Amino acid sequence: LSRVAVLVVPIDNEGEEVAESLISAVCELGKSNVYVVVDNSEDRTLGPLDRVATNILEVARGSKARAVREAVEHFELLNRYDAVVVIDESALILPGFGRFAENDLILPGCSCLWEAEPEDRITLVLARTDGGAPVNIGGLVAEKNGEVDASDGSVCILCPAYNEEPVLDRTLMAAVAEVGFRNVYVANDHSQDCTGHIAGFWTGGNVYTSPQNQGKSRALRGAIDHFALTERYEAIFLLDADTYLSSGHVAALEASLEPDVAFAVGRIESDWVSRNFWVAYRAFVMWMYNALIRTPQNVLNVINVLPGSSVLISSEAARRIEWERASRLVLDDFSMLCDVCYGKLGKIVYLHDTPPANIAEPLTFRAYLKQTYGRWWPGIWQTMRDRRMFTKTDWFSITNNLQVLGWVWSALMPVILLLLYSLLNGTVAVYLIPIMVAWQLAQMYILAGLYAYRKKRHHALILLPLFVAVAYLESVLFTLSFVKSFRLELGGRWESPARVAAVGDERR
Amino acid sequence: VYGGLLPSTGGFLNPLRALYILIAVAVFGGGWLARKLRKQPATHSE
Repeated sequence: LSRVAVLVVPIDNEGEEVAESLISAVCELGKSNVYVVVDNSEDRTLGPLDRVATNILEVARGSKARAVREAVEHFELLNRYDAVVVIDESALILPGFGRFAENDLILPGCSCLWEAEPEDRITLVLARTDGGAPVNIGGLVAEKNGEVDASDGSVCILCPAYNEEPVLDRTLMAAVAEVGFRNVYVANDHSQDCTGHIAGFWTGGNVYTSPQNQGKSRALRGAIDHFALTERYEAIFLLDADTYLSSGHVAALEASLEPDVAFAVGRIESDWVSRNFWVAYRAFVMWMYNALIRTPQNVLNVINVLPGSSVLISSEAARRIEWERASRLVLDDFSMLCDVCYGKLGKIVYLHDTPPANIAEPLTFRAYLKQTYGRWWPGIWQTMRDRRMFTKTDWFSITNNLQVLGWVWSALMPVILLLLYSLLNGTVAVYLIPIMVAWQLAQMYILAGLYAYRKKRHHALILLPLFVAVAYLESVLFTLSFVKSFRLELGGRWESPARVAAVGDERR
Repeated sequence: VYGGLLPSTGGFLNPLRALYILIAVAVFGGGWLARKLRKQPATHSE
């Protein structure tokens, strides 16, 4: 038995490329050390796979990360091998790889072994360590044969999770690739599904489980205290279980950590799902928001929306955040942001050019309304009342209030236009109002054109009138949500869009 | 929370939005110009 196994996880079941990858691995390591995991969809044609490989596992169609975990567990690969090299059909195992892997790849008991060069086309390496936990060495750098630093890094990732089974594999695999498994932690808020098991697999057991379901903020606080994260790390990256990090996101934020920085936020994008209007709308708005609001706010140091789904928090700020106050409110991240701004805990920086964090969006109108009108918008009003923001005169409060009032202003626009029409004399009104409306639409089309060109999403130009209509509807509902904010239950509950398991890599 | 000052929503006659757009144009336009200038080969001769 070799010390190294190759696990082939094809993105597509069929095709010559899968057979070529498989044959290259078998030639180098022998049939018994090569494993294949395929989905059990109807269109599967075994063909060359069955002739070449004996260790085949069929799994339900789902994310690549989940397939990796299920195969590693099914074949007990981490008990039987020192390292598992995971490839898809884009990779070939070249002659000499087996010797290279045994001599250079595997250092017993180490977490960080060798950086796979892009030309090796190795997508992932799991290596057994003393603790028996898997390690993804992709993206990690270590001396080839030198000392391996197994100590904590300067940044850890903390993922709060409540019943996140469908999406957790993909999220954690990407997180492990960012900072190494030793530095990934999960705050499991007493989930009823397999969240705890999956979290344990990818983090090597760094899982804090709440004694009872108590809400996101309290679960986070519990995990931070349990693992003494603020003492051991310079900063903690909070990552929601439905947010998928593109490679390099955390490292880019880490580089911005100065002593006076409390929160660092990178570029956020919608996790793309094709042919879904709500995702298309949110992706467009998010793109505009990053450019037209977050970037200027960053220049003026008045950022007022913190994406709680992916934010780097300095340990100093994390120690001083009022977690209990946040847990009483519906929008815990807005409350944390207020702590920083009013408590003068430091700056909030936004880096526009980071690889994106991809957040899951609601896929239906109902889910969209539940997230926004049900939670976000009344939550904004709730936090603003809690902090008495309308009575404050600092720049953060003033710009936040103006932004919020901008929405109310927008909702009232038909009334304002009617007033204008009646106040102005007929000729002026007849020309002025259409010019104003046309100017707004022209701006939208310029932006939509830029977006369509940059992101190669030309549908935005066709859907733009609908986007504008939805945006107007949002402003009306936002205004109405002021009333709803008085009837909000206390926070602390988990409110997530319906989870849809990622399929292959096509959602990226 | 996404929206607020974007064109077509809170955009009309909103001074804050005008300020933000100016800054965004300056930041991205400036960045684009700087990249262009860096890419341009030196034209001076000895």
